[in-house]
Amino acid sequence: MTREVVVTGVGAVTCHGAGADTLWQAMKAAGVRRPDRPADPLARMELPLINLVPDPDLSAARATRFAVAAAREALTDAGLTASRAAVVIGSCMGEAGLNERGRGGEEWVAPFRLASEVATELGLVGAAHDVGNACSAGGYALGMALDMVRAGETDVVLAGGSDAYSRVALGCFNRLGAVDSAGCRPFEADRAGTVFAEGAGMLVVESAEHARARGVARPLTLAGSGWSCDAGHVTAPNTDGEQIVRAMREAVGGDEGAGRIGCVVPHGTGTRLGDKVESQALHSVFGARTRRVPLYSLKALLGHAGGASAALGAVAAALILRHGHVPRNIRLERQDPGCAVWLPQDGAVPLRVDRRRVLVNAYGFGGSNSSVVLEGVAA
Amino acid sequence: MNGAALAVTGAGAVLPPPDAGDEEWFDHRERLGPRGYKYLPAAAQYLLAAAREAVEDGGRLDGVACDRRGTALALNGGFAELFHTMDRQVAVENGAAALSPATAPYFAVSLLGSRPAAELGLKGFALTLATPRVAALEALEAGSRAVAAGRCDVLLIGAAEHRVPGPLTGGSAPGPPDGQSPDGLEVEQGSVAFVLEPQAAADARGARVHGTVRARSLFVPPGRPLPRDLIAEALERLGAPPALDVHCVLDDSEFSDRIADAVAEATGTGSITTTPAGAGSLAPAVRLVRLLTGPPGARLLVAATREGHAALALVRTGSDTPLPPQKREIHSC
Repeated sequence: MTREVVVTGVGAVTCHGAGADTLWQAMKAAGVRRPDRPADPLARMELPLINLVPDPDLSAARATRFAVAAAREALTDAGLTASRAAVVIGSCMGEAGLNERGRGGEEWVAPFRLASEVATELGLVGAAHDVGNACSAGGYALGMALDMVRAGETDVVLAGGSDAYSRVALGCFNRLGAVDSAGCRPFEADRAGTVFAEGAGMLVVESAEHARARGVARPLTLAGSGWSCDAGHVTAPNTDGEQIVRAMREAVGGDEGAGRIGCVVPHGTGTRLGDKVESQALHSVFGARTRRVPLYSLKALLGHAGGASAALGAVAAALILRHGHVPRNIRLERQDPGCAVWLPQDGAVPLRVDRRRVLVNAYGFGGSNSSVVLEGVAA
Repeated sequence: MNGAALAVTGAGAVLPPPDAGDEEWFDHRERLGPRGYKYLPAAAQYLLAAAREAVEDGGRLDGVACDRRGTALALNGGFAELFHTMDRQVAVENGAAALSPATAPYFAVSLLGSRPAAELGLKGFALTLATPRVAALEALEAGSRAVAAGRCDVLLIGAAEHRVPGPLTGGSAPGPPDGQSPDGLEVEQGSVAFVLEPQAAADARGARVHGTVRARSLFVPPGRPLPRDLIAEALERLGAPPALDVHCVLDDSEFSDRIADAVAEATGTGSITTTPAGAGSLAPAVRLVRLLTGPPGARLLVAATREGHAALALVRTGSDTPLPPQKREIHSC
């Protein structure tokens, strides 16, 4: 028998500040945020633009600090004092800054130590995994957490993602011509790339029986997860979208499950091909209903938080489910007609009682795709 | 229990000979092909060669549809030298505009597996684990869990490392001795790969099975006592029989010593063989290959690191006679 898996706590650190409630207030305000320039004199690139977390200490282990703060908030939100809990953290770059700032230290340090640092800071005994799946890492981490709890290996997993400014990553993105000087503008007609962001999102993923036993009322459900790989181009998604459709279908549970999705937090980074392929893939999954499924474009608000993006998407999904409505999106100048999806911009859209499910997508270099679904309790 | 143990039907190892020069031991033109691999980072070249070896060794991936082929890969250093070179170009040489567009995408470490995924049609999923030193056994654990969860039917597991850079500042500090990482461990280069599938599927196609494996990982914050039941619980989940031979891959930390002592006590067993951990994820994977291709029996592989990670893998090799092969469809992508 498959164990039911729930989400009982969330935590976030974003360019709008610390805390999931801060994120929700920013989502409701829908304000445009211009990218920052990191105080890094060695960032020798045309567009050193990134949405920074308002934390002035650029030299320290930022990704670790963000992950610990988000994890601590998620545990508090869950009302959990865990000593036995696994930690699974996705990241594109890990703690790359330790090997970069000022041209690094005297010695190279393994950058993917976020999970062990979080477990150590919070005193957690269990297992600690670092997932390096580029910009889909947070989605893969949540999928791993789901598998671990369903398999009965553990009752509690702190799962999510964290990424911080990396000179190498931003330099490479500049070289690839993938930075939009105007900001992160998913689905805009004249979008020209993306803008990276710092941040961390963490969720307490728990077996339903464990949550019930400690009296948790009305937790969200981690209802599904899908993984796939394009196995094609290094950076570009396959234009047929076949594998991202498969990941979405596995997460939602086929056509019947798709009918119960009330909102999508798309990957939607602002790259020309990526947004178009995802839009078309959504039509494959939702069919004629696609134009009536509201999308919440989180990256328009936060920028692209790399390996943390899906985890932050899942935190946003949890907030949407808790509050019962999809906030309006940041207003688009002109939506790309090749991206025929619904991005509500005039006001919040209530979730229908029979569609209290949010799909979160995340795609990374190498065609690494993941989707997860969170479900709220009936009103 | 993490589902049934999986059968290893193919294994490949691409490792430098003991007296090899830094990079002279691997010629990508000879090992991979005359064209198309020059700009692939070294760790990715090694992995591709090891993956091909694992398939040639009998690990059939094409017996199932591409959507049902998954891969779980491991690295720690991996692309570290490339990152170091790219950062130097950005920060102190000619800026980001001078980066090679062919190597720029590899800031994402998950691209380690992009070429094997493309060549072998691994569309089920591509999971990358980077936890220090135990990542290869974690890949085995997570990949096997994914098979049990129905995410794929056949699995490629791989670990690859290149080397780690010397002092990053290039300044006053002396670098570590040749062949050592800054923390005194042996620098690793090369790759190990395995193809795994459920025993029933291997039997159905009459495959030669090297053995079966199942893994379980643990974490204890440094300085905290080991919970009394931690190792016993892991052994129970692995289905470990009593009186196992134990093979340890350990660094020189107190935590590693404690894990080794706890395993010895919990298994109440015969011999313990210890191999020093390297600077990356390879040493446990190399030991796993040797156990799988060694004499029959059940053995426990244990890896532990000073960061507080530990992983255990139960390896069973035997002399089961393969069943006659059944006709099987071949799937191309």
